[in-house]
This record gives sequence, C-alpha cells and structure tokens, in this order.
Amino acid sequence: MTDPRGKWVVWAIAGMTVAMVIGGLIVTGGPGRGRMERRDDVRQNDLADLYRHARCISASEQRNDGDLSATAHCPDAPRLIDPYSGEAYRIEPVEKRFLRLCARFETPADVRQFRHGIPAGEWDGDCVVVQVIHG
Amino acid sequence: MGSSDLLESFVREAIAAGQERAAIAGVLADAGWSDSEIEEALEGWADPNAGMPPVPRPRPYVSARDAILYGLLFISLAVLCWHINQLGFGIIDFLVDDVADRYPGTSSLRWSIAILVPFLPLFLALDRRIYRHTREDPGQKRSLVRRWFASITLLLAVLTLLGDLSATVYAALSGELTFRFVLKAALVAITGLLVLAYYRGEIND
Repeated sequence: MTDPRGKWVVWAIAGMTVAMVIGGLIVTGGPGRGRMERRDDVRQNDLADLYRHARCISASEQRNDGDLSATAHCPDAPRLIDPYSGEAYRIEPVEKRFLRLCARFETPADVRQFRHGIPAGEWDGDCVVVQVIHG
Repeated sequence: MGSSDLLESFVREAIAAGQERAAIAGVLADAGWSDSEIEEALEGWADPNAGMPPVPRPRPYVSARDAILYGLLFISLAVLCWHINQLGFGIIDFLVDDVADRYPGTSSLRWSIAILVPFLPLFLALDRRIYRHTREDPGQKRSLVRRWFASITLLLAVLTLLGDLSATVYAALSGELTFRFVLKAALVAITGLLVLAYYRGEIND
C-alpha cells in the first residue's frame, strides 16, 4: 500500500508493535508467570470449595471445627491438599463463626486477591477469613 | 440503461462526430448535468487519433480478489492499532503508579500479545504484496475496493483523533488529567497519526 517514501510508517507500526509485545511480556511476566497464576487459580478455587463445604457442614451439623471431610449431608468432599505442592491446605476455626483458609500461593498477594475475589472474605496474605455461620 | 450510461454514450458519440469538448460540455450543462458529471464523462474519453474511434480512459474497477486483499489489510491494521493501544495502556498502568489503583489485572494483556504475534507478520506481508503488485501494475490504484477501505480507515482514524482530543479536554475539565491519562491519550494520537500517514498516498491519488 505504501510507496517507498512512506515505508517509514510501516516500520513505525511494526516497531511500535514489537515494543508493545516486549513491554507486555515484561508486565505480564511471560509464560512462567502465567503458569504460576494458573496454579494459583486452582488453589483459589480449592479454597472456595472448602468454604462452600464448611457452610454446608455448619448448616447441617451446626459445627465449625475445621473438619471438612465428607459427611452424610455434605458428601461432595473438597480437595484438602494442594495438587501441585502436595501440601495440605490450612483450615483453622476462628472463634465460633469464622474459618481461616490458607494455601501457599506463588504470586504476590496484592495481584492475586483482586484478580478473582473468591472465596468472598477478608484476605491476609495467603489466607482468607470467611464467615461460615451467619447471625 | 442508467443515466450515467446515457451520458457516457452521448459523449462518446459526440467526440466521434468531431465535436469540440467545450461544445459538448455546453449542451450537457443546458440539459441539466452538473459540472462534475460533465467533467467526469469527458475525462472518460481521450481525443481520437485520425481514423480511430474515441479512446476510453481507464476506469475504477471492483474485484473479489481485491476485497479479500484490502479487507484483510484493513482488518489487520485495525487489529494492530487496537491491541497496540490495549497493551500500551497496560504498560502505562504498570509504569505509572496511581494511588487509586486496586486492580492490576494482566490477563487481557496476554490476549493482546497473542493477537499481535500473528497479525504483525500478516500486515507486513499484505503491505509488501500490495506494494509489489502496485509497482508492477499501476492500474491497481484504480481499485474501488482499495479506495473504499482507505476512505473508511481514514474516517475511523480521524474520528479516533477527534475522540481522543475530546476525552483529553473532558479529563482536563473534570480534574482527571493525570500523567497516566496524558500518556494514554498521546499513544492513541500517535497510533491515529500513523494510520493517517499510512494512507496519505491514497488521499493524494
């Protein structure tokens, strides 16, 4: 489309594109960072499953003791162990109504907690405190 | 037969009959044809040589092949511009801190990278191919499809620049003209100006 006088425009567009791609790779952290975020997504989903299961147990058995194994009323047991590191997720009752759920995440907390926001609760580093029993 | 065909036919016969162009223009104007219509009709025919009928001049044409070629070029340039800005905005957000920022998401930037990687070679290849074809056959410049896509692209570029300017003025009036905003507005302006420069030759043609 361009005549020889206008070739600089094509080079400028190509240069801008290459610069943006390189800048984008630096900002996003490249494939390695992507894999870390993907593993952290799985961990966050696991914590969300733990939260839902704790809610089910508290509603059916009126307990919040941190034991989230399958029960007769809540048979769909969540994953209790990090599938990548093999480390168990930390599940700690906080007073009677709250539960602290922790995983060892690989990405910084400030990026992670706003990327998804599940489970709904107060985040503190790698842990989230959720309200299991309302009222 | 459409009115433009009638006009063309009349001009051809008049030239073939040896009439002067000024005289042909005069009778056409008396009949109600506009100056631009008359000029276009007369430009369509070269003066005949001795013993030859009026010689038609080349006319704009439409071809399906051009629609694919120039359509792809239009789309690839639009995609490049859009994602250059998407990525640029993300990079600016990363480089320039804003105390109100709470959502440093980067997944959309990955999409932009993934889209730019195949579209840049496509754009360069199409540009090269069209340049080569035009150099070998200058008649390519008469492609109506080429002109239409160039016109649409120019229209969009001008609208983008106007929108960019309006957004900047609005940001200034509403107290949102941060350094970050200025950088983003400048990026949009540079992209728009590059597109205008890219099609500058088409305007001149």
